[in-house]
Amino acid sequence: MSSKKKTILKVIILGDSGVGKTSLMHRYVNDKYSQQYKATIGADFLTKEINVDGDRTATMQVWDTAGQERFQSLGVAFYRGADCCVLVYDVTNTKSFENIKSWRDEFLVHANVSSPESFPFVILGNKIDIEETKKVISVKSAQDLAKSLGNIPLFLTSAKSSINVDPAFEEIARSALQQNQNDADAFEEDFNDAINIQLDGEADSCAC
Amino acid sequence: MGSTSDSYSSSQETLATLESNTIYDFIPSYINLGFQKELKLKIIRDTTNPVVLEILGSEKFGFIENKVRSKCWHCLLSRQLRLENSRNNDVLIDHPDENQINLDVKRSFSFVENTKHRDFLKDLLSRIIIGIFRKHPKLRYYQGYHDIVSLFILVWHSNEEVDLSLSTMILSAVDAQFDTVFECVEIFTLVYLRDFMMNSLDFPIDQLKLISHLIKEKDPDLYHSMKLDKISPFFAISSILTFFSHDLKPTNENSIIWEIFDLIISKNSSFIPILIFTNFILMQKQKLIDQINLNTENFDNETDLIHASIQQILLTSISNENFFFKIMTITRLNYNRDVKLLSKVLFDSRIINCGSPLLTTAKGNNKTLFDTKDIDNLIDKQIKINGTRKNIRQTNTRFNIVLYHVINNKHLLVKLSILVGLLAIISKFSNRNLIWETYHKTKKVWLDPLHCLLHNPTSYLYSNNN
Repeated sequence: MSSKKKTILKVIILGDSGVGKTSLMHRYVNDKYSQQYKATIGADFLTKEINVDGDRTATMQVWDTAGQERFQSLGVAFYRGADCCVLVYDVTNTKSFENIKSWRDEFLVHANVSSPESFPFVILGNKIDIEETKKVISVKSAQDLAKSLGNIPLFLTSAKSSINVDPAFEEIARSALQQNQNDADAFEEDFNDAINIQLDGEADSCAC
Repeated sequence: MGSTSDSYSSSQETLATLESNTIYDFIPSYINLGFQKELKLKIIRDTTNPVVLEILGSEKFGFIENKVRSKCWHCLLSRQLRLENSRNNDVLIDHPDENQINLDVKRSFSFVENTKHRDFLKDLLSRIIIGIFRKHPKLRYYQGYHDIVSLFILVWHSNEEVDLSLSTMILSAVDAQFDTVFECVEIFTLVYLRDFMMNSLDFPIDQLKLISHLIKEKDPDLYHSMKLDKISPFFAISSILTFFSHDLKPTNENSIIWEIFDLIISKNSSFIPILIFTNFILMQKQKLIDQINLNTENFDNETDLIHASIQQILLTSISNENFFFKIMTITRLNYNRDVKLLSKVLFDSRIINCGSPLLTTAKGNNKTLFDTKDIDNLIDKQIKINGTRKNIRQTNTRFNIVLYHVINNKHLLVKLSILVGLLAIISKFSNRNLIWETYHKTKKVWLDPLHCLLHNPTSYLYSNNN
């Protein structure tokens, strides 16, 4: 029953204000970059048709959120039904890196995902085009964090110079698709379980 | 209810005839728009009476051009709040939100092409916003406030040639102008934006709910087909927080956003943004329903479906400014009736905090001139209410986090289950008699004192006295 329905992959981008969430989304969906993206207020979204498993297509919905802390209270509404969550930090901003864990926790508490231990996250360290001297987060410490949070895939990207954005989103699409299918399978399992219970009941009544 | 929705659609049909129902309707309609504006401009320039200015600003075209607008806004705003002390330059204590302010200032004025002028405007924006928060440290900055302040700056600084020569010329003139802009921004902030400047979004979210309530009153069918009984109207958050200045950019003197602010300031009414958004939804009803139907396949849940559909329609409407001019006409036309309706909704729903600008403005002719002390009291009251609500929400979230960890930590869940099971077994077998006796012994005291009292009052009192 779920195979006929269009596959929709919902991806949420989270991270501190100014790390480049909007730029990454526009780079991936439209392959464009502007120095002048306005601050996101509430949530914006873009969609992109993608190929999965060779000939199948899916719609990837990318939801871009506001970075200021107070907007998290809207998250409850927007996180629901997500298939993958992208956590972004800025390689030149220590605070944004330190907040990655709390963004993940915040998401898990509000998203109401079926199995939090296996829910897919991807970490993006953005703005790697900026000169070396300004970078404050080493590759090593980023890898350590990704490992400590449960071996989350990590990509160092630049939305401005279009570095690693496509490979990162390919991984995001892959894990979102996996999650989407797991959920569909779980739904079907529940569905079958429900039928089984009924059958069991009938068998009992026959035995009487 | 039916009658309000009927009269709404009929008002749409007769839009053209009713558009002329304004103060300048002595100007024949065959006169072209340019000349109509020119005539109105002359009247505004000659007007010294602020009450007449309020009427002129509320009507079609608003105050027409920025040169005149800057004087009108200053005149009207200074009649809404009397500031005791002027700009305080000496405050040097950083406000905790300055980092966020800097981030947002950096990406402002993206529509200004001349980079030199853009930098000039950004510098001004930063100085004004930081000045406001250092002067009013109790207020908190929110993303979107920078869009509103940007608009104010452009009223005084839309001419790049003048600005660029000013920045290198007479400093005292620049300073005097800075003080006027600052004063206007400060009054506007304190009179209209308090709800948004607490440390949470609770109050603005309450305001959004009014949109749903209004749609329910005006068009119950649309209310149900948009599932507004089930979903939170977060789709309007950026429009309400910024009074539309986030989406409708002041790219030239004729931009619709000026008229929106002219109307808010002239009517002295925080209702305007809510009414405009409601009218936008009602006027785009069919397009919205079509878009929702078109999108149904592409969304897994209703919140996403409605949010995305409205966002798509809003984006296409923005590119068509004529449509927004029509919304403005409807908003002006229905204003008095809608204020009554919204006041009733405010009263019935009781969701708006008692210090809200929604309750302290929009009083029609009974306008209040506030002073700094009044505003300070209102802010304190609001901070208190917001704090209480935030605490309740945080306690709930903390409870959810604990619950979440218990449910998702299988080891902990197993341990807890085993513990409960063990306690049950112990109570059943090991100390069966002891527990049973304890229960019966103490029953009179902690379980059923009234029962005892009624059956045997003397012994109960006696035992208690002992």
